[in-house]
Parts: sequence; structure tokens; C-alpha cells
Amino acid sequence: MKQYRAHLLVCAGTGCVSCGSFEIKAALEQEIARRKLQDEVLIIATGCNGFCERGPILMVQPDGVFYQRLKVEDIPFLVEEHLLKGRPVKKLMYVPPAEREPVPKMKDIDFFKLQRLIVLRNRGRIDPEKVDEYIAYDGYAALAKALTEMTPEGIVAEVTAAGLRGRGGAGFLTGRKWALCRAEKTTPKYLICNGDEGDPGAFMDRSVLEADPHAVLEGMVIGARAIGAEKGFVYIRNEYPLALKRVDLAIRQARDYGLLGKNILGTGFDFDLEIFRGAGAFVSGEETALMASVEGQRAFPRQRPPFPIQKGLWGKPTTINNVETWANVPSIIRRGAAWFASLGTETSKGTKIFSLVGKINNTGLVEVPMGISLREIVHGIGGGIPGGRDFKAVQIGGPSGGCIPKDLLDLPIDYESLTKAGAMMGSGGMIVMDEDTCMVDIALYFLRFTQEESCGKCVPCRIGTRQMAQVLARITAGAGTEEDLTKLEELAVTVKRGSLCGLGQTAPNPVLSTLRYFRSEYLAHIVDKTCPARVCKNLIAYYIEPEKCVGCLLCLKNCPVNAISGERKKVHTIDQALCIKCGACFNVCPAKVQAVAKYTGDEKRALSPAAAPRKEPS
Amino acid sequence: MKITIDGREIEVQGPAYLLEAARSHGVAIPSLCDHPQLEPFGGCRMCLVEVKGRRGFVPACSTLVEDGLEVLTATEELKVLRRRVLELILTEHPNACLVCAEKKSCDEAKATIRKTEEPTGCVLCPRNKHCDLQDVVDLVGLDGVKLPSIYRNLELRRDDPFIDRDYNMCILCGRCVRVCAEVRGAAVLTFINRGPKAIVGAALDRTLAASGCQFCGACVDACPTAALAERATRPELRPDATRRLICALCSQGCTLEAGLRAGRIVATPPAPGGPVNHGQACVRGRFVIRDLVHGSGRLAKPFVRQDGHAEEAGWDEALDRAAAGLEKYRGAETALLLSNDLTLEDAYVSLTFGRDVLRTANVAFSVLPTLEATLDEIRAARDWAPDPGFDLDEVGEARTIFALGADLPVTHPMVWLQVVKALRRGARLITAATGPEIMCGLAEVDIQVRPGRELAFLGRLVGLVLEGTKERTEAGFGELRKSLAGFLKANAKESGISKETLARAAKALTENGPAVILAGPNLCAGPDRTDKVAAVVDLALLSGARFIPLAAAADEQGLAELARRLGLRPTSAAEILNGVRKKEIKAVYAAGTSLSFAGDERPEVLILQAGRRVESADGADVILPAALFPETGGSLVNAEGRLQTMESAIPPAGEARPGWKILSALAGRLNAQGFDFADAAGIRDAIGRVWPGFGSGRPEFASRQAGARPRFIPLASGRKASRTERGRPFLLAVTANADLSAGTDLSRISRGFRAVRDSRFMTLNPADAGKLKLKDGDQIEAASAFGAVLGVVRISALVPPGVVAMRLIPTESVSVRLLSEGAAPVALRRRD
Repeated sequence: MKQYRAHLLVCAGTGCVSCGSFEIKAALEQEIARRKLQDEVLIIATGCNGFCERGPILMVQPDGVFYQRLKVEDIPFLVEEHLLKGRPVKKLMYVPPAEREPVPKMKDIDFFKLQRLIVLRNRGRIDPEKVDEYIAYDGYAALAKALTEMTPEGIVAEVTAAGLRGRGGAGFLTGRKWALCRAEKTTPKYLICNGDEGDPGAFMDRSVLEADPHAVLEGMVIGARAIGAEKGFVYIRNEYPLALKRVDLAIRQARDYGLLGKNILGTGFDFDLEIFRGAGAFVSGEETALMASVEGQRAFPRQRPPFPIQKGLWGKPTTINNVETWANVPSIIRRGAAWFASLGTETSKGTKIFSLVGKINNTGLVEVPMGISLREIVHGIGGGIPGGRDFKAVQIGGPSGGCIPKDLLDLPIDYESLTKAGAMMGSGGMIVMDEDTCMVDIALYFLRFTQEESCGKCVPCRIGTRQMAQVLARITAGAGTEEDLTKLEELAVTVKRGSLCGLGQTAPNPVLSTLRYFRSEYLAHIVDKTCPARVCKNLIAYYIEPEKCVGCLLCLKNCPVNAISGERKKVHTIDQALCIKCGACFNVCPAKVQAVAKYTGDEKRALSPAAAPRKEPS
Repeated sequence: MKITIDGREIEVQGPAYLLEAARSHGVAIPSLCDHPQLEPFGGCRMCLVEVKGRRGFVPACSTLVEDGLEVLTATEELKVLRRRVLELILTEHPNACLVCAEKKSCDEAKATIRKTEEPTGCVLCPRNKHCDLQDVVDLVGLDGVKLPSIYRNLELRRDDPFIDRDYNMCILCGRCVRVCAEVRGAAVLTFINRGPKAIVGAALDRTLAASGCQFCGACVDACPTAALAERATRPELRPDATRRLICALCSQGCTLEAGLRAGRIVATPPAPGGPVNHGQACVRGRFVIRDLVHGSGRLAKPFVRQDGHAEEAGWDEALDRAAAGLEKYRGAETALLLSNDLTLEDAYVSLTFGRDVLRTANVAFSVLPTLEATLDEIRAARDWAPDPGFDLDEVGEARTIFALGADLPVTHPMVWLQVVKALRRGARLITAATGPEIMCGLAEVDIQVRPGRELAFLGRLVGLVLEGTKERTEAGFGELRKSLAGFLKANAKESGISKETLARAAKALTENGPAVILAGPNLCAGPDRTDKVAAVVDLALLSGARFIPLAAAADEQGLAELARRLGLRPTSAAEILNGVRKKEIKAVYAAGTSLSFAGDERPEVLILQAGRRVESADGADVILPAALFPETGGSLVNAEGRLQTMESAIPPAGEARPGWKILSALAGRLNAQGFDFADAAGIRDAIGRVWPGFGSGRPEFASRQAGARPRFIPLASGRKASRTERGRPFLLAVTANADLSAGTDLSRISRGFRAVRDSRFMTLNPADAGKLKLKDGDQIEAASAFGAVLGVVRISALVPPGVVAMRLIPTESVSVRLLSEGAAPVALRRRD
């Protein structure tokens, strides 16, 4: 193998790609060639590093220097300084919020420091399109072990002993699921990898499939051996083109290497995989709906039992696990159940990937040991809230999850504690909210989402979510009554208890958890007709504070409905009757002026023309 | 199995769902999406119950009974939940009729005739008083809807024949979608959209007609609300009486439940427990009978020919004229033309009239020889032919089904339902088709045969199965084997089907357990019909498959048997027309025929007995108005060999009389004895005297040879298939159209039916249509060497390029000739 003095690891996860990492890679190649360094420096496109906020990302090895937010025009300078003159470029390094000195090395950056990588162990260090690189980092060693040294029962026992639980939502014990499926007499049996990631703001499955597709494949082949399946499907939504491409490539490479297909590793074991492209309905992530979709039917969930392990795909026993679950399997087999079980809490073992989004400094994908506190994630890894705002809550588990408020920041994260707190692990979406987030509005947002994504099959989910969304819309519009809260709770129970599948059964969670922790905010909307976070349009007003306004005409020019009057160097005023509360004036008013203010409730009424006669322009 | 429901222990047999088990023991659990013929759905959530040890609530409809289950169906929590779910349903569904405080007194106070076709209020809903939703509201005891209504404001869909779709009434129970897919195998209806926009419709929200709907009406009958309604009955009040009908519009004999109002038939939905149709019907029985009986064009008075015109006359005058006409000729100069859907009562009197009064052997039931007649020929020549009778369940239980010579969803929908049932149980379907047969869509092996090359295909398939067969003990095996070499030589390149396809079909037929071969009436098209049927019989014998011939018309088997019992050997109408043309036959009495007797086919004397005005009426000397089957009642033998008898449902239109009464009267005028029947039951007694065992559900057939040993029939080498020729670049493939009732073309009397299946449809490939710049609905003419037939363009990729397929009703010599040829080269011309 050829030796290079430096490896340039360009992040080619979807986040960085959309920030232009392919252009960065091209610029690097061009510059390296121009400097005739191609025999000394190797450029590699890796999977997602997780720190998507900072893309495009470049790692220089062996120095371990982390460059971020690169632009094509930075490249010649970077190559000259770092690779020719050996001087790392400070201005392209990461500077933690509220600090001035950059942190040059990835291992010293808080975002990476506090993580524990099992599933994402290969992220940022291998080219996911090259099976050799995966193998170089112990890839397929677990498969070899499973096929040559272990019995199928032994594999099941190992996974069971590890305490691995499904990473897709409900957290069912994976080993137990496999054992039940293995015990079924009917053949053939099928295996499915559920990659229909649909939660708003969640992208961990995509990242795993993009960064380390072979880990998922290896996990599935091991699982196939354990339950006795000959055929599997990787269900990936069509909105993930890069994941589709890389998994497709990985399947072909694995077949070429005898790691998939007939007579795997010469052991006589046959198993093959096929990709199924999902058309992007949220409900397809529900396992029975997903199987209907693979069968070519409309993605309708069906009543369980029978469970997929009894009657799954085409009525045959089927084990369906989430991407992250499958990707955990090789490490468990390679390093043993005891090692895996040593991580995490009593009931939740190993690590969990969370996608950290919303009002947080370090947006990205993080893998943390179970049992870590929310505070460590939000303020440690996440680097806190931008703009000096205060943390308010975090929505965990997407539209099926719930909000966890500030008081519970020290909650150790595992399946049980989250459920108890009214949220759920779900697939691991974490949406951080600051004090400018209205919790009623957030509940409405999620309800609208589940309402739109309801498959329409069962009544409580299809109509109940619609009714709930209507009540919430009424409250955010300032037309709610206290009775509405009772109605909301009644509807929530109906939807939760009456719905057919997980989508409906969990759809009320955002409402129930916000009602539980932020009831006062609901009451503020209903009783005081105020929106404390100043979000709900009907309850707020924009007002130009005369003493601050410098009369720059900026807001006046940007107002889409010409509601602002005024002249240069004279105080501007907003005609409340015309204002549509788009917030354009608020956003364009220069930061050092900040003359446009948002008011709510009584403050607003005080501003109505009747209550506070406007100064007539002289 | 023993389970407890609400503390009561009950005993349940076999695999059963909780809902049906509970209901059969009198435990009332409300449900809306459940349907006895359909797989559980679990969507309406009305049947949620509590099962000890199960998490949450479970729907009783989709929970299988297990021994020892402890079930609670009416806890306070469940009651509240059901009420709330039902309330949610009612927020989307007009609910004034359901929870109105005045609902008890409203019937007397507001009874009204629905003058508008649009339901504008509770009492105007076409489902008012027989709506499942109303029943469930009563059962649950809901007295108000507190949640705000969400009117979906969907457009009333009236762009299809027969069916109106008002999805504002839809509760998305999915029964229509499921009955369409699970029972009918059509899958025209589906759920479309998601979330609050989720609704039922055809794919891409097209019309039903454009989505391949055959308008069987199963969706309408499955709908629990008024979302789907029969357009014709929407503005009418509910029927005040119902009568059982046996449908005589095809060979299957479905039981229908005619709804009557003021002595008229308003609707003919399927009866719930019909032995043939099990609560299903098809477009003919479901939607056409009303028009057939009450639509314009009924003959309500006798007519006689006066100075070249048909003049209204009294019965006496008409019968006198008829008698006078017939008196002039006797014996071989006369002929009796009957239709294949005549009741046995009418047929008995007609046949004895022909035998004893006209004393002629010229009796025909159909224009061209039927399968039954073809099998008779084989039986006569080879001392053996398979018995025609069968049981529909045999099809449903088969593991492999080979269907040919019919498009089952269209021609034999109840047989098709059994095919669908078998397919859902994992059976395999092989189809062979020459035209746009829609059944191919569900076939595992779908063989497209060029018109005229059916025998070549069948022979090769027989050959292939023969290759894998060891010596057989049945007679004729050696002969068959010997004939194969000659056949293969003569048909080396004729079949045009790949060896792989044939091998797949042969493999499926022989290696998958019990197989049936459904042989349809189209096998009888073309001069080589006997050879084709013989080849299919051989194929069945070789592969061990059950040979099931499918008759085309309502009473084909019964009439053939009755003729045998009366010592008659019927001929075909085509032969009789020949006789007329040669002036050997001078007088014809026709009871229900599609033939028009124009030109030199007009006999000296033509007496026509018909229920409706037909083309041949113009040339008739006397027209005698006959009652139709809902008016006469009577007995029919269906394709299975099942005898079914119905009473008359309504009185005859105007002065029309049952056929047997007319002929009895005529016989009396011709001084014949023995025609003094008092009623239909009297005729049945008379039939019983010549047909031992008549009257039971499965009467004996003289044609059946108990204990006869099957024998193989050598393959005929066949003839050269028709090919296109200079100036006639298309091959017109014709099959007999059986959408007839007593000779009346159903597509002429029902506009809706015409839109679904016009007998003039000429189906051609999109490529050909493109070349000729033809579009759906264009009028064209297909000119053959025998003359031209007119048609309406239908474009379908199911027809191969160069072929024009037509289901033709024989009316004059051109169509008769075309049908006996099976295929002919034609030129296509647009007619503007």
C-alpha cells in the first residue's frame, strides 16, 4: 500500500455536501496537483462527521487538525500554509462560542470530546465507498467470527446478553426479537433494515448509511445467520440519494468479496440483500406499513398481533430493525456482550445517536453513551444556546416524542426515564428550544405534521389529530377557552388509546407533554390573550420605539404591506391595522438600533390607536 | 375453544375472529369497517375491546380467538372511547339524521319524495333508515356531536355510469376498496392522498370507467353510508317489497333481490345468500334488469304486418294471423328459433310445439353451435366426452387454474370470484387469450395467442405435457401420441408462443396439485371448434386437471338436456338461415333472437315472439309481446348444472304474456292437443314426466355417462390460420357476445351498460389507432370479404398490433359468417 505523508479527509456527508464539500474536494485536488503534491498527499471523501453546523469540514491527518466552514478560495492558502510550510491555518479552525482562541485538533473540541462512538466509529476516517477501508478497521471481522465460531443460537444469546434494544422507537429487546423469529417454523424468513427516517430534524440513519454502509450490511448478515433468513431488504427513502448510492455500492462490493450472496465466506451460508426505495410517507417507518410498502401496497399499518416475526413480509416471519440497531451488531459480536453491556444504564445499554438541532450552537449528529444527562448534551456537546438566550425545552423523539423542560436537564437519558418524563427515545431527534419558542405553537406544529402524515386508515388518528390541531390553532389565535384544554386532553386520550399504530398512539405526546410542563403558557394564550414567547401572530404586535428609532427608512422599505410610515431621520410608526406581523421590520432593524420591539397581550392593547393616540406627524 | 366475554363463558369453533364469535353469541359490538366477506381492517376502531393480558385496547374484528381469552366489551372506559371515536367520524359526516332530537317523529312529519338528485338533508339521504352509521349511533347511544363539523366539500362524482360517488359521506371504512380487491380481484378503487385529504378513489383520481371498472356494484353494496349509491335509485323512495330473482342474463344464475315499488323493479342488488353469487353480482344483473324490464322499447301489445307496416292488433287477431301463416307449411319447411336463455317452462312448451305441432327437426337455441353441442359432437364421434356439470367451489379450491375461451371477469364474473378466491389462497393462474381479456392481469403465465392459431397453441401445449407423460391406460393414448408428430409438422411455426412460456404453463398445470381448466364459449368460434375443444379435453386428461366447460347463456345446458329428453337434436340458427336462403325453410317462429332476417334471409312467414322491440320486428308478419324473466319466473339450469326456479316478481308489461302461454294458445288455434297448461308448475310436472329427477337442485343429465371410461382424442392437424392480405391489413378476431337477453342486445337498452361494454366496441392496439388517427369512441367500419361490420373504437394495449378484437352479436349473415370463421382479414375505415 502506498504511503502518503498526509491524508486530507473531506467530509462527504449530506450536510457538508450541501455546503459544497465536493467543490472543496475538487479545489483541493486541483491545488495538490498544481503543487505537485499528489504523491505525498491523499484526498479521501469520508462519511459524515456529525458536526454539520460547521461544514464543509476537512481533517488533516496525521496531525488531527480540524478545519471548518471552508470556502473554495481558502484552499490555495490552506494547502500552501499547512501542507507546504507546515503551519496550520488558525483562521479556518473552530472557535468555541464565547471564546476567541481556536481549538486546532478535533479530539480537543467539546463537540467530539464528550461523544462515545460505536455505531459511528468509522465516521470521518474511512471512505464509505471503499470496502477495503472498512475491512482495514476490523470490518467484517464480526461476520467471520459469527459464521465460523458461533452458532446461530450463540449469536442470539450474545445480542440478548448485550442488552441491545431497538433504536427505532419502542426499544424492544433485539435479541429477544431475533430469538422469537428464529423459533418460527415457517420459511422463508425475511430481514428488513428500516431506513425510512421521517422525523423532522432527524438524520442519524441517513448519516450511518452514508458514512458506514458496510456496518449495517455486516449487522444484517449476522442477523440473517441468527434467525435463518435468506433474503433481506434495506428500506431507504428516495429522498436520501447519497445513502441509496452508497448502500447500493456497498452491496455490490460485499457480493464481490463473498460477504453477501451465495456461500458467504465459504461457509455455505446464503443471504442476499435488496434495496427498496420508499416513497417518503412518514407512516412507512411503522413496521407493518413498511412491509406493506415493500409488498407494493399502500403503506397502511395493520393491527398487531400477528407481529412481523410471526407474519411479516408476504405473511412470512420477518425481523425488522432500524439502521442504528443493525449497525450496533458487528461491534457487539466483535467485542462481546459484556463490553457492550458495560456501557449505559441498567435498562439501556450502549450508546445512542441523537441529531441535535434547533436553537443550539453546535448543530449536528452526536453519539453518546446511554445515561448521559441532557445538560451534558445541550450545554457540553451542543455548546449551549446561541445569542445568549435561555434554554427552554428540548423535544425528544420527534413528533411522537415530547418536550422536556429546563428543570429536567439533569435527567439521565435512557428509554424508561424519557418515557416517564412524557417524551420517548424514538429515533433520537432532539430539537432544542430557547425562550423565543412558544410551546403551544410547537405543539401545533407537531400536530399539523402528524395530521398531514396520518395514513388515513384509522379514525382517531385521521380525524382526532385534525380536531386537536384545530383546537391548538384556536388557542394560538387567541380564541381559545379554558374548556379547550379539557377538550384537548379528551381528544388526546381518544387518539392515544384508540389509534391503530404507533403514529396515532404517540401523536398526542407533544400536546400532552407541553400541557404537563407548560400549562401556564397555554393559559396565558387563553386567559391573558398573550403569547409569552411572542410568536403567535394574533397575540403580538410590532412597535417602533420612538426614542430608539433613527429614521433610517430600512423597515419602511422592507415592509411588504406598506404599513410603516415616516421620513428620513424622523421616527417611523407602524399602522397596526395594516400590519400582517411578518416580522420583516424586526429583522431588518440594525442590531445597534433595535428600535422595533415585539409586544404581546396587554402591552399590545396599550398600543392600539384608541388606547394610545399616535403622534400626528407635524 | 372457550373464552369469556363480559364474564360469560362461550364456546367458539375453529379459527374465528372475536367480533364474529361475540356476535354469534348475541354480544353486540358496534363496527363499521368490518364485513363478513372481507379480511379484517381495524380502521374504524368501533369494535375496540379489552383483552386480559393485552396492552391497550384491541379491535375485536382483527383479534383471533384463542382458548381462554378473557374479554370485556362494555367497560365504562370503552363506552366513552367508542362514543368519542364515533363523534370524530360524525364531525366529517353529515349527522343531522343521526343525532337530531326530532329523529323519532321526523318520518311522519317530513316524509317527502326526493325530487332532487342531490341529498340535501337527512330524509333525503338515499341511505336513510338503512344506514350502518345510523345503526351504530343507536347502538352506541350517541346523542350529540360536540366537536365542530368539518365539511370536506368534495365534488359529487357523477362522471361514471350507474354509480354516484359522494365522498362527503365517506367514512373511509375501506369496504369498497377491499371488496374490489379481495372479492372481485379488480382493485379499481384505492385509498388516495394522506392525512385529512385521505379519501377513496380510483388511482390518480380518474373515473372508475377509465380505471378498468366493470361496474359490478359490489362497492355500492358494501358501502355502509350513502357515499356510493346507484344513480337510478338515488332519487327514489325505498322499495316497499322485495322478490327473489334468478338472473337470466348469463349462464351463472345469480340470486338477486329485486326491490319493488308500486309494482315496478327499482333495483336488483344481489341477494345476501345466493348459492352461486354469495351476495355478489355483475353489471348486468345489478344495473341492467331495471332498464330491460321498464326501459323504453318494451313490446306491450301484439302487432301484425299490414301493407308492409307493423300495426297494433289484439291478441286474437295476432294469434289468428300467426296460426294462418304457420298452417300453410308443416314439417321440414318450418323452423323454430329459440333463445338460449329461455326458461325450461317456456322451452318445454316451445319444443313440444315444434315437435308435435310444426313437426319439424329444425329447432335451434343459438345462432352458432355451443360448447354443449360441441361436446355432444365429440361424445357422438368418440363414445366419450367429459360431463359438463361442475361445482363453483371446485374452482375456488383449485391450486392451478387454466382459463381460456372467455374473459371471466366480464363473461363469468362468479366463476372469476372463485378464481380470485383461489388466487388469494396461493393458486396459480394461467390464461390464454386472443383479445383484450382483462383476466390476464392476474395471471402468472399469460399467453397471448394470435387469432386463429388457438389450435396450434393447444396442440403444442398438449405435446409438451405428453412429453413428460408415461404410458397411460386410457383408450386412445397411442392414437394421440401418433397424431402429435403429424400435428407438430403441420403446425411447426403456427402457434407463435415461445417454448419457455409453454413449458411454464405445462409445469404449472401438472406440478401444482389439483388443477382445473376453465374452457369458455369462445373456443366455439371458428370452424375448428371441435378440434380445439378436443385438444383441451386431452390436455385435461393428460394433466389430471378437471375440465370445466363454461356455458354462455342462462339455460344452455337445461335446454340441451330438455331437447335430449324430448328426442330432439337441435341445430344452429346459422343452419336454419341457410335453409331459409335456399328456400327450403319457408316459415320461422322465432322466440327471442338477435337475427334480423333481412334480404334473402327473410322467410315466407315470420312470426316473432319478443319482449322488446328488435330489428327483426320490421320484417315480421306477426309480433307477439312476451313477458321477460322477472315477469314470468321459471326454471333455469346454470353452467354448473344447477337447476334454480323463481316465482314471477312483477306482472307482465302491458298485454305481454309468458312465452308458454302464447305458444299454448297458438297450438290451440292449430288444433293441437296437450297444450292446456294452467300454470308454470303444471309445465314443471310435465317436464318431470320426461326428465326423471327433474326438480331437484342437481337433476340428472342423460348426457352423463356414469362409469364411462375417458379416452384420448387424436389431435387434428388443423388448417392454416387466417392471415392478413393485400388491402385488408388487419385481422378481425371475433368472439360471440353474450350480453343478450332473449336476443336483445343489452348495450342497446342501457346507456350505462353501453358505456361499459358496447357490443360495437372494436378494440385495437394504441399503435394501430395512432397510425389510423383513431381515438376512443370513433365510428369505424371493418370490411371483410363477407361484408362490413360497424364498430366503435376502443384502444387497449391488451390487443396485439395488427389485430382488431370484437365481441360480436350475430345479427345478419356477415356477423354470422365472421363468427363461424373466428377471424378474418379486414380493412378499417373511419365512418364520419
